[in-house]
Amino acid sequence: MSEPILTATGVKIGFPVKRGIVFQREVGRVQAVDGVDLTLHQGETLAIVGESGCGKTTLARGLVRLRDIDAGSITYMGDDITRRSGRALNDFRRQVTMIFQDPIASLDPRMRIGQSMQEPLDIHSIGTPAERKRKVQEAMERVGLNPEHYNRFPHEFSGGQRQRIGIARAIILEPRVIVCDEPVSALDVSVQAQIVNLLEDLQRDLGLSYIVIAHDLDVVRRLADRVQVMYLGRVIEQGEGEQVYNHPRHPYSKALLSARPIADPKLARSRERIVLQGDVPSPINPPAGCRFHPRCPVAQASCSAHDPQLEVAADGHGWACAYPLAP
Amino acid sequence: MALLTVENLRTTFRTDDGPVCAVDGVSLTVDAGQVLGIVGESGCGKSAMSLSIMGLLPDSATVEGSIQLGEHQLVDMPKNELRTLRGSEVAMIFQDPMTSLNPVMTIGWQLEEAVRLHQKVSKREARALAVAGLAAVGIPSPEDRLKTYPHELSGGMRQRVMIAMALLNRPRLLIADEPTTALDVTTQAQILELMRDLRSEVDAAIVLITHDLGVVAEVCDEVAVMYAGRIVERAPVDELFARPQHPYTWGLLASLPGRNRAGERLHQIAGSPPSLMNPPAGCRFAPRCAMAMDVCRADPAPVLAAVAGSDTVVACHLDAPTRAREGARVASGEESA
Amino acid sequence: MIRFLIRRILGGAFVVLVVTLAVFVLFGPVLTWKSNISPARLYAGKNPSPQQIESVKALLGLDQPYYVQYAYTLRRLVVGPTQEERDRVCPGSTAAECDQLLGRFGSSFAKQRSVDSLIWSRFPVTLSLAIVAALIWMLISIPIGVLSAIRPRSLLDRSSTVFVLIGQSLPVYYIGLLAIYFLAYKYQIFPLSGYENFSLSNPWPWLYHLLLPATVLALQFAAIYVRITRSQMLDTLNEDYVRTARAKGASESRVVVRHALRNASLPIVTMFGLDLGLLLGGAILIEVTFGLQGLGALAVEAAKRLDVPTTAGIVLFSAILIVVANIIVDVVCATLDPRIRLE
Repeated sequence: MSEPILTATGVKIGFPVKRGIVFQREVGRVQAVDGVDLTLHQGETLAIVGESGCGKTTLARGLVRLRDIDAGSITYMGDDITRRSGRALNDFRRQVTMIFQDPIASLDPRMRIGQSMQEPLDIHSIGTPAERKRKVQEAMERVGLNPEHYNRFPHEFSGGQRQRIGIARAIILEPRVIVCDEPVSALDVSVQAQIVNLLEDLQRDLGLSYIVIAHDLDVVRRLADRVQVMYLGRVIEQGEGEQVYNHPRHPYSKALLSARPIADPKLARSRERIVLQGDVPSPINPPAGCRFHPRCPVAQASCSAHDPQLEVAADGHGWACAYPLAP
Repeated sequence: MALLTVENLRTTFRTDDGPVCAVDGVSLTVDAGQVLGIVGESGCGKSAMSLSIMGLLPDSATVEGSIQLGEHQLVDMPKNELRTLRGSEVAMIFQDPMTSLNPVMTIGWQLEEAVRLHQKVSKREARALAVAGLAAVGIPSPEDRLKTYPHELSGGMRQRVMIAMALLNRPRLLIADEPTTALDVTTQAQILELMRDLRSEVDAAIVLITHDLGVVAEVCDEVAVMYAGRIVERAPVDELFARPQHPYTWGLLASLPGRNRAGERLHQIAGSPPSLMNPPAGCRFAPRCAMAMDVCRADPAPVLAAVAGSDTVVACHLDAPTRAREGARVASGEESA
Repeated sequence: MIRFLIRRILGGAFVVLVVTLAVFVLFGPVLTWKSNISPARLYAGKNPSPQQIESVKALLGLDQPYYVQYAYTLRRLVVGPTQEERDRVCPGSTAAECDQLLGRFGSSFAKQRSVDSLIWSRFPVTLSLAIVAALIWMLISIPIGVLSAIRPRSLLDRSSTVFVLIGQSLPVYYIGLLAIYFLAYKYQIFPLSGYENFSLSNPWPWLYHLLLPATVLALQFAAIYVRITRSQMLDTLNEDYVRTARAKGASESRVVVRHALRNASLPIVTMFGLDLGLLLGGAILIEVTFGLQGLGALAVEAAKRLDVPTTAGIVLFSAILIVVANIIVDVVCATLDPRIRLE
């Protein structure tokens, strides 16, 4: 395994809960991210999967310092960047960029796309204006856009093309790490394939490392080397892609994998489906003990009292369950 | 006996830039108790088609052709008559449960409205029906739920409420437009299971619109693939996946991330869907089709024709052996052309 | 809901408190310092001697330090004048007689009346004007706005846009004077000026005299409200839940009124409450143009004759009305939209 470049230890991010008639006091916190460790190695793709309310988007924002974290630390290339701000933080921002989910919302509709893509260069004062424009056009070619469309507006492009613009904007600073927040969820299936291929090509050509946040397990399986499954702010299973996909040990991982619709009607009819009861819970009132136990199909009596911690085996496969499934 | 028969449906929108034909000569049938899936990507006209059946199009749209629902002919039906059918004979559930329920009215009020718009019942009877409807879709403590507001419920619950609301008047036709797209995967599994259960309990014909082939495989009996306003292939679900006949279908199946083995590039369909303002002549998929021939690019476009030895119909100029060969390759998961 | 209401009331009370402080400071020390207008000098008559000024100061309680004066003013506002104050200002009179001269809002020495009695004598006119105008503009704007939204770009929509533009562009005194000239003077459809008191048994004279000024006032607001109703309805009619209502088979009128209008009305209700609150403080231009003896006219007169207590009193009174209007608007909005109650 190559050396780690981005690590997070014990990250906690919460939102205050305020009560009070006249003066609002903070009476508690909603822990969206409740103690997460992760390590990203050079050249690899780490996927963080989970459903709404699990905290993965909040975690992604915390990792790129779009929001502050309450506890824990984030280290990039050996430097602790948890509390950096200003100039020092800008250095980090050049090397770790982000691609967002909604290609419509993440581009300023009043800004020409050339401007949008050039903005990172402007902010970091890289090169002369002529050089910047050239870099933008190179990036456009790399992601499969026509450089002559430099002066067009976002609404003149399709969803897939807009996502390419977002990708170009992310690579223009020549970063080492890109955090992709649901990069293909808002796209049609055939366009998803194009973007996934593009991301793979860029990783190979530019030596990038990715953190991919997603809920679509099939896309993740394509892209990811390692996977971390989140539930209610915690990582409940992690490991190499094959380990988690083929030998899930945590009941939630298994349910998540089983819930995917299978594009094969015979298989769909015959297979054993795990359908969880109840709703995806909100982190405002997490259950006592193991957070998954109210919905767990194999929960035991002790699960409501004991909150299992993530235990990682020597081969890197880890899970947080007192009664893990058979391998 | 076909409950819904659509023949040559053509829906045109008048826009500032000219007329746009969103549905261009679509024909299909659905039997009672059957689930027909309509698969296509954004802009293919599937939503426009469902809105045409419901009569929910804006005044700037014109509908031609025939939509026969039981004994009713829905095209050119007077608006008042159509309104009595909407919500009682034919019901629809929409994609986004977050925004599809009125945020300032209680669930109970909205459910009871659905009942009282079509049935002459007292308030108490309407409430009882609402409670029963919620119980039938698996919502716990239905009486208490009546007083809640939509924002107090989760996405999965809201979609269940929408389904309950649609079924209250025992419609003969239920149209579900991307009912699970906006939901989490585990919630999606719950809703799909609910729909499978309902299928056996309710005798309605169901039209399920989706872009997700996995959903189609899980729930549908028959599938119609739509592209640029036309149906390009229609088949029983097993046949569609085992012996797909149209190049677009091959493209859709091959692009599924679960299909490709790691290490190979994901199959992608080159280009993007055509603008419906100026659609290409001939077969609309020809510009993106790897196997397009000259005849494909000229009018008339290929029409749906039966495939020998099966219940599939496909609109494609390729000869049967080529289609069978390519279809088999895609179905087995090999890299296709 | 109760907690919501309590929070709003407490917040409102706090705002009123801040306003009393602001009014006190602005009409007291700042006014004196900036413009040499001291109530003592004004009251003391022509060419007062310094001793006379001093004795007047003591009479008015102005010899105390400012914070003490403020405290007294505040107390008087809440519980009324104390016996000590009464003795100071109107020695020898009974409590009832003294109330004619000194009220919660102070005393207008120029008029030898309490500010309260001045305000209360004028308030019915302003109230009537505001209410009738509000009814007129809401009854005009909401239907026109809704109909314009249902049929965008129709003849009705385009002509209402023109109407809106005219209403917003032409000043109120211009339209007012035109109206008076044509409708009251030349063709004598309406009375020239004046105000008839409201009586339950025969409200017509009251209404008849109010109709012209209220309509002119309403035209200004109608313009804005047609616009805002139209745009709100256009947005709401495109929402998904409206589509669901139609899918259920609801008639278009039901969809518009029961589903769309309720959701669209929030910003309209908010604006309405604020505008009504403002109007209750006196529609100065209308009152002056039409010769109505309302609060606005009173404020102008008081300012002209440098009657500080009265002017300050009107400002404070209006501020209290606006705060109350705000609270009512908040409660109505929370009733209309349950999501607001969570705040």
